[in-house]
Order: sequence, then structure tokens, then C-alpha cells
Amino acid sequence: MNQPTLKEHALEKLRKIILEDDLNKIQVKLEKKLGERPSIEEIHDVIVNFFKDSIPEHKNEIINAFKDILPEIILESQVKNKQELIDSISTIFPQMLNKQIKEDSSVIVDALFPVIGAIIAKYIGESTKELTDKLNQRINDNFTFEGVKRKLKSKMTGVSESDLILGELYSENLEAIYLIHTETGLIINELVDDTFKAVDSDLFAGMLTAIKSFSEDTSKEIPRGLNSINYGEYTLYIENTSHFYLAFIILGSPNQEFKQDVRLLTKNILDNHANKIINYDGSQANLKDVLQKDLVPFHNKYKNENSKENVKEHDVSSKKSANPAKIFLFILCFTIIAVFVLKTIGYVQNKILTNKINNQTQFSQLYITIDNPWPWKIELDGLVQSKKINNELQNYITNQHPNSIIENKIKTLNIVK
Amino acid sequence: MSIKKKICLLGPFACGKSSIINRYVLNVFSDQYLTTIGTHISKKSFYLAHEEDSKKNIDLLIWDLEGGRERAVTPPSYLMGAYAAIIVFDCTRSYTLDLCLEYIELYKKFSKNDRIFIAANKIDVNHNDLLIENAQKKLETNDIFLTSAKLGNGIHELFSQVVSGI
Repeated sequence: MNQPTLKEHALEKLRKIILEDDLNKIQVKLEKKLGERPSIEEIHDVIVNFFKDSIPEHKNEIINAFKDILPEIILESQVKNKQELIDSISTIFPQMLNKQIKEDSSVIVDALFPVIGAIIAKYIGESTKELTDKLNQRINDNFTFEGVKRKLKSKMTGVSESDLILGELYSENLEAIYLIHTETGLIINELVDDTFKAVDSDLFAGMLTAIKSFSEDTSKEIPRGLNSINYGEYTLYIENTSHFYLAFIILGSPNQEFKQDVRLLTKNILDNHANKIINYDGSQANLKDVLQKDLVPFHNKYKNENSKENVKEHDVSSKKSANPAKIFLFILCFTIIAVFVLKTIGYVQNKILTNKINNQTQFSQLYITIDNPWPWKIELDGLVQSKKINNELQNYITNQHPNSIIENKIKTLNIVK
Repeated sequence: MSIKKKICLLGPFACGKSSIINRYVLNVFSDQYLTTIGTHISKKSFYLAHEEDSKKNIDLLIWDLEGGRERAVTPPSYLMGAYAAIIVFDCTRSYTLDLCLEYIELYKKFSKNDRIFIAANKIDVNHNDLLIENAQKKLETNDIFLTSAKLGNGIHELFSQVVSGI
């Protein structure tokens, strides 16, 4: 039995609304006239057919009759049959929007502009703040080993420090590394970041191997094989060898330095573990040292260090305690400068004192050396004829530098008369 | 640390390969037929009793491979490195038995081992002893597992035999 159409359903409703009470009266009247009581279905058929024919003829009158109450009908439907109303309108809504955009997009743009403008402004604002925080973090690290290293790198490569900082901020963030046996598609080893929610690594490795095989079988002209899959913000970067391949899940894109390091990592694995990998039988225990020796250092270098959480932690901790490396470097620099300054003062003092002594007649012919290792210390050495001259010399120097410590190592000749 | 093994399920189309896997991995069965395109990989993990009361953690990676209509269509690379293969034919369609021979040859050639297990599926619909006898002669083996993915018969015995060599 066919489901009633929308029109028949509406007509039935209309019939009930208009004729509910009258139907029985009609039945009774007809019974009197015809001598028999027709059934409700027979009356129903007559009335439905009547409305079917008359509605097209009296369309305008019916529209005029309903137009004032149509908004109320929709409102009532919202309250009582909300989901059905949504379902009925949602099927045509996309086409309505499409049609409006084609005919007059400015209406849509004007309507959405206040909202979209605010969304874009908010997003840009948050991104700019995040970038500023990261830049500030980098700049504050200027006196660290990394900061000094960056300055040297900038001098040697000719790349400005700001470009290097920006490059560091937007370098790839490594989320996971998988070492996979090419033939079987079995995982040999893996390192997955705690914050990265990955699918089951065995299934991932198997399907990736199947996809690689499929693409390599399809395009025989490309011998190297699949080496990159992009999805959203992530890149799945693959480094292939005959017996295994490495798959890296990166937030961002790999740069040249990363690719070079990957080749180096691959070479290390080949050099150290090639035989075991060729004969890999699915037993992970045989190759667990690959993880520690090769994968962990690589992962530590490229793991996600620029997350928002890390930036927030830095902001909080910097208020509580300063960077110890920064303090050490500061003390070291201060010490070196202080020593240099003191030595310079000592040198100048020495020069002045030596000139003064040479200008004194009684001291000019003496074989003596005067040394100022520090501004507050004078060392005397040499040979004089008598103790009297030695004492005169010491008194002279004491008068010139009353606050200095004088270490007198001058020897006197003992002339025996 | 677990031991991982790759198992391939091969056979002509609509023999019940996917159903066998669903029964084994998820213990479910559906009458709805959805053809497998390419391959679909499932994983079953379990502990296997080992010597001296110890247990081995086994991960089976089961490759459900697309079945051919008239001939074996499996890409060779999908078979490489497999520990074992289960080749399935349909008891209700005797011609699927002929295709099994092609799959056996294909597997032996590319996997470089002959660890092959034969499953006669849909035994609940048609348990034909003559067909089974014919299969044993053609495939030159008496070890044919009579399975029904719908009822769950013979599936665990089949896989137990597959993993017994690990």
C-alpha cells in the first residue's frame, strides 16, 4: 500500500479540520435522503476528490486564506515538530543559499561580514600573540648557549638572527617515528609522542605498507617509491630502503636539515642493524636497541618543543627564578672584565711609579724592578748598595701609595769594611 | 615485546574471507556482502602458552586480500613476508576450488614459504563430502578446514593451527 503523499495528507488534515463535526451530520442527512447511510470512506472519497479538483481552481482564495496564518503554522511546527521542520527545510537550504549567492552574493557577504570579520580578527590576534610570546622567549634566551650559538651561526651564514629565530619557531614538530619492515609491513620499532593520539601502530604500518606497494606497483617509472603524504597540517614523511622504511609524522613540513638528519639516521640503522632487519621475523626483542641508540636521540632533537604549554610554562617559571646558564655567563663576563680593568689599572700605576722613581736622583741608578700585579699591591725586587737606600725607597713608595701593600724583596749588598 | 606475524587470506571473490576474519577478530557475522577492495588489515592479539609456563604475546596482522572473479588478482607485494596463508573456497560454488590452485602457486612464488592452510567455507549451507574429497585430491592435502563464518564453526581451530608453529 503506498504511503499517502504530502498533498493527500494535507487534504486529509484539512478535511478533518473543516468537516470533523459536519461529517456525521452529512452522514445522517444523506441517510435521510438516500434511504441508506453511506460509509465514512465513501463520503471521504467524494470530499477528497472535491478538494483535489477545487484547490487548483481556487488557488488564490486558498492562498489568501492561509497566508495570514502560515507564520503561526511554522511557529507551531517549531515548537511541536521541530526536528521534522528542520529535516524538511534542511534538504533545500543548501540550494537556497547557493541560488542566493549566484544571484546576489553581496547580500550574503553583508550578512556574514560582521561575524566573519570578528572571527578572522580573533584568529589573527591569537596567532600574533602566540608568535610574540615565542619571539620573546627566544630573545630572552639571548645569553644562553643557544643564543650565542645562534649569533655565531648568523655571522657565519649571513642569515639574519630574526630569520633564524622565525625558522626555529616554525620548524617541524615530530610527533611519531615508525621503523617498518618493508616486506611484511610489520613494525620493528616506534616512538610516539605522548600528546599525539595515534591509531594502532600495527594497523597503521600494515596499511601504509599496502598503500606504498599499491602506488609503487602502479607507477613503475618512479623507482624510489612513495615518500610523502600530506594530510591537513601533518606530513607523513617516508625514507625508503630495500628492507625497511622510516615513517615520520610531522606537524608542518620537513626542511632540508631534517631530511639530511633522516638520511644520517637511516645510514646509522643500516650500518648497525642491517643483518637483523633483513632477517626480521616479527620478534621485536631482537631489535629493541635500535630504539635507544638511534631513534630516541633523533626524536629528542625534533620533538614538539614549541607547544603552547611549553610557552606558558616558560612565562610562569621566568618570574620565579632566572636562567642559571644566564647567571653563570653573566658572572663569567663580569669577572673577565673586572680582571682586565684591574690589570690595566695596575699597569698604568706601575708606569707612573716607575717614571717617578727614575726622576728621583737618589733612585735613578738603582737595579730594581717594580711590579703591580694588582692596583693594591706593589712588588719590589732587585739589588741596592745599602739598607738605608732600601728603606728610603720603600718610604718614598709608601708616601706615593699609602693604601697599597708593598712586598719588598730587594736585596742589599753587604759591604764589609 | 611481542611477536608479530603477517597472515594473508586469499581466495576467489565472495568466499567469505572477510566474514572469517570478522568472526575470528570481532566474533561477529553479517549477511550483508561488501566486496573488499585492495586489502583490509585486521589485528588479533593474544597470549600463546610457551615452554616453562611462560607466555608469548602474539600479534597477528591479518591481510584480507581482494578476491578475483575469474583468476587470482592479488598484487605480489601483498604476499611478501607472510608467515602463512589461508586460502578459502566456497562450498556452494565448486568452481572456486579450481581458482584455489592459482592462489596456492601465487603464494608459494612470492612469499617463499609453503605454510598454506585451506578452508572450505559456508559449510553450513552445503556440506558436500564429495566436494571435500575432490578438494583433497586436487589440492593434494587431507588437511582442509571445514568452516562456517556464519555459525562460527571451525574458525578458531583453523587459526589455532596457523599459529601453532610460532
